[in-house]
Amino acid sequence: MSSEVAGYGQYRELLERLLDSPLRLVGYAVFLFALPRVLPIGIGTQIAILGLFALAFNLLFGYSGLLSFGHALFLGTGAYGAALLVVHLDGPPVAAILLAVLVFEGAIALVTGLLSLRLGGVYFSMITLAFAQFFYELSFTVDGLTGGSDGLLGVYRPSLFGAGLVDLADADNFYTLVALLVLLVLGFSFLLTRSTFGRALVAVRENEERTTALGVNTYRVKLIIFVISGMLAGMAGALQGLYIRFVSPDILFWATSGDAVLNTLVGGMHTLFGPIVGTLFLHWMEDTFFATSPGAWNVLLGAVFVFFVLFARSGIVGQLRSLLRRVADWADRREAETTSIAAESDD
Amino acid sequence: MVLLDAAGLTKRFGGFVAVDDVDITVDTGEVHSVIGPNGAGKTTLFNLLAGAYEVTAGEITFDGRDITDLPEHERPYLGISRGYQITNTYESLTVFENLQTAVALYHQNYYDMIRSLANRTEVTERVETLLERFELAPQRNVEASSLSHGDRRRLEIGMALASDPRLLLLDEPTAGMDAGETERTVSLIQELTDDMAVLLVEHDIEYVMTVSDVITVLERGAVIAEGPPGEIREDERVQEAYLGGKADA
Repeated sequence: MSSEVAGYGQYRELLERLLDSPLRLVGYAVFLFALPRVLPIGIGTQIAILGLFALAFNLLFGYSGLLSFGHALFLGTGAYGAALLVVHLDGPPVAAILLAVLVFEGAIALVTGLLSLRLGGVYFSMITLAFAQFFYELSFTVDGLTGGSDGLLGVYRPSLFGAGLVDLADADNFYTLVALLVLLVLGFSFLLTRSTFGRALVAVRENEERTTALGVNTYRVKLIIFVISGMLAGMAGALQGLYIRFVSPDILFWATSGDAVLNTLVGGMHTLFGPIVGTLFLHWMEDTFFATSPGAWNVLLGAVFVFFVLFARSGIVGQLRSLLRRVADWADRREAETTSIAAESDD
Repeated sequence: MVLLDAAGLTKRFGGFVAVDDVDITVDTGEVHSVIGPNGAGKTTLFNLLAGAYEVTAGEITFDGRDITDLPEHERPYLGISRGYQITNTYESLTVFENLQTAVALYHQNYYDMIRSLANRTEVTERVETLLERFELAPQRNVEASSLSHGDRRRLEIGMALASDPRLLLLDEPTAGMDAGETERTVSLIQELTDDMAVLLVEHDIEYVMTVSDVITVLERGAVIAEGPPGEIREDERVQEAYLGGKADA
């Protein structure tokens, strides 16, 4: 970031204000509205759900710097939870399913968070991975409940409020529900990142020692964001189960956690919308290249990942943002040159 | 009035006794310095008082309350604040954001997820005051990592003062500063003590003599002398242990 000058020029100032304004949410809404009209609605729904998952993951990773390598745990248990509720309770309203999953995932995140957050850095990543793998194995073991490797069949989408109110078997309705939830989470993230708690998260990420000395219970701050992130990832899981109408152990496999990491890094980890852009981008790439050459796809994915880590660490959205800033600064410099050198500027 | 009272303070790392049965008191409004050669246990003592290390033996009371086992993050709320020997700021945040963080996390409910921090005028006002007081206003938009050493040290002290502490703990606040910067920092510290106590840990004895009301001398973890600067300068054991080599410097 360029910061040698105290004040900004007018274009840069305007840009910064725009970037910081709630107007961004309108942009996100337009994006989500356009998605199923540009792509087939099935793909649009899948991208929105996995984007929501990456968004939840990034709330933890991007803002507090905690790299969970086990977020599949929340996506998977959320999917199984929703599917089991549908199968065993004869299709309760989806609104009730989502609420139940949020509470359930909050409990799982609280327990796993309490146990894993005592350790920092790579140990935290390893323990979250271990928890997820434990549930992965468990999904085969308790096959009476989960259907084991055959997966859980017979899942369907009940209506949103019961009694046939808002039919979610309809693909448009279901997408609208997903998009509204994504917008809600984006709105919450927007408020969060500008709030005092958001600053506490950044402070923990940048310098935990100093943050403790300033009077912050950093362990509790990390636990709270871990629980929020787990709950939202679990909600994405519930939507995934209802969307596919089938759940198999694959959703708990470590590669699912890896997808969240990849989508977030490629899209932009210190950005709100990056995880969704990353999910869209990688999904599009997979669709384009996996079909033509499945073997080459993994190699290509590796190359993409290496490229972003080495040359574009701020991801697609981060790169776009710094490009906009550079353009604004360039416009300001041009303006300053043309409006005569005689005028003394005092900042 | 006694503000901080530590008695029999001991810290062992395995078989090594870093701080050995130290008694130290700090009164309201006084500058109390702890000096001693390298490895004397100054920084360990400092970290015990700040709560960063657990005490092996002994007890610490602050304003009559036993704080021996109080977690570090709760001590600021009693009025204890600390700086760091190695400058410890938020490197990628600007000067303004560093101070804003220090002010907001102490004075606001840091669990608030909804209200915008930028709109909190009471926070912004305090930050502006700190920027003026520490002569950092021109660098407000500069990232902490690009500040000059002296500016960073002052930012560091500014952050420690964001909580309006009654006792400020400073670990070698002038380390690495040139003469002019040291002088500015010293006069800053003298201004501070109008309404608070300062405990300084120092290696460089020269300005300690001018700024301190009381000096405690540590050697190998134990107190070998305590008193006003004049007395310390004359003390034979101190001269032998610490001043000997650099008496003429």
